[in-house]
Amino acid sequence: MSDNILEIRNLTVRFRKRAAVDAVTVAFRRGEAVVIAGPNGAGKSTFLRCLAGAIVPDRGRVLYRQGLSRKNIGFLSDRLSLYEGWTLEEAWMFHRREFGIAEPARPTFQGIDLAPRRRIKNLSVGERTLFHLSLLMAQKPAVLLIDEVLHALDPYLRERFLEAVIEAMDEFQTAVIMVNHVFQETAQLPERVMIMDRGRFGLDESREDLERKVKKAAVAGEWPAEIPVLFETLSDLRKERYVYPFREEWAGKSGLDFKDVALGEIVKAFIGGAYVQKRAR
Amino acid sequence: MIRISVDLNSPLPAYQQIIQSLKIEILSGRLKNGDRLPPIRELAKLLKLNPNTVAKAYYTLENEGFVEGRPGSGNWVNVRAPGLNGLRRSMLDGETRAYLDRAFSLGANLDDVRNSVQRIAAHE
Repeated sequence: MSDNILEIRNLTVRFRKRAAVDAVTVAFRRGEAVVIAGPNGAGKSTFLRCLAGAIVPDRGRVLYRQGLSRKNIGFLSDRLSLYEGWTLEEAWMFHRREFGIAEPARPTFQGIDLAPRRRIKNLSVGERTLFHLSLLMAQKPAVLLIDEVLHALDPYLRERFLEAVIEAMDEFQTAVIMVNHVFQETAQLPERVMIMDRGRFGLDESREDLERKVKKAAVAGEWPAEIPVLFETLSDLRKERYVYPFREEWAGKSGLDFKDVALGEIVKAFIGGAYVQKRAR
Repeated sequence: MIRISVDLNSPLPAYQQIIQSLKIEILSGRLKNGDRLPPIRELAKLLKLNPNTVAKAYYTLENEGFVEGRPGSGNWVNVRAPGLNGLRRSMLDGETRAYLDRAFSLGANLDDVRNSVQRIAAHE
């Protein structure tokens, strides 16, 4: 039996003539953590909003599997869709009714204190995000969609945020799908890396495979034509080429010294490569 | 108090970094047979890791004969591997290889390295 919890088939979303999401077919499994990176305007947020059911696609379908429903999908973006004038208590009561949550007590966070009488408009950006996450956690989410909220959190709140997400993954087998570029922020959570460019996923690999397949080498003399270059650094001071997909047999005979690359740098090379292609068009 | 750390910028996968740290803990004697490893969720939260990553490290250590997993109660140190000495030797070789690379890149030769090791060991 397939372990898929979300199946996306031929999904297309158009804004005027431009396809923000362009015929995407992909599936997500229960309990996996995925990061989606890509250049600005690639369609990442639109894709995530489709999964959450917040945008109706022009074509294609998002299929919920294994009893997944809107009630146990948590969608977190920098726009908190609650009334500014509400107190946290009121927001919680509304959320509880809306999602049919049985527990009466408002969920709290270890390490931060959000008094029930405070109003949403008086919370800092980071406090809002954590408050919102606490509401989503009460849904026992099977899927968490996180759209670039980590960069707005200070280091303390970011740690509390990640701990809550890790706890959900362990307790509810939550699939976590996040849009983010900065891997210092997502820590080591993602096991699967997707890169979106112009509405499509140009890359979808397990982190382990990706780390094996991307290497870098300093450019010295003639570059062997069969070795594919993903991206070349822009500085003349240090000319390095990122190679993808790498084959072990090149290590010895090409005379090049291939080095391993950490994930953050891999993603930077892919995004850089996308910009180079854009200039070439 | 277990010293396990994971370096985000290292190209070494996180689960291998955990394995490495735990092996050092065992070799140094800070972790002994019968000691309990931190629960997966707690270690994942501490290091900000995917719980699957921690589970994979524990599972690998179990296969290699350093850890015993008891369903429902956690993971315990239980070294069945024939001799920690073999492990100690192979890890030491790895460290020496890395050190020699750096020493040679300074233009030192093997005699310089030997002299330096002896001089420093004699003073400490």
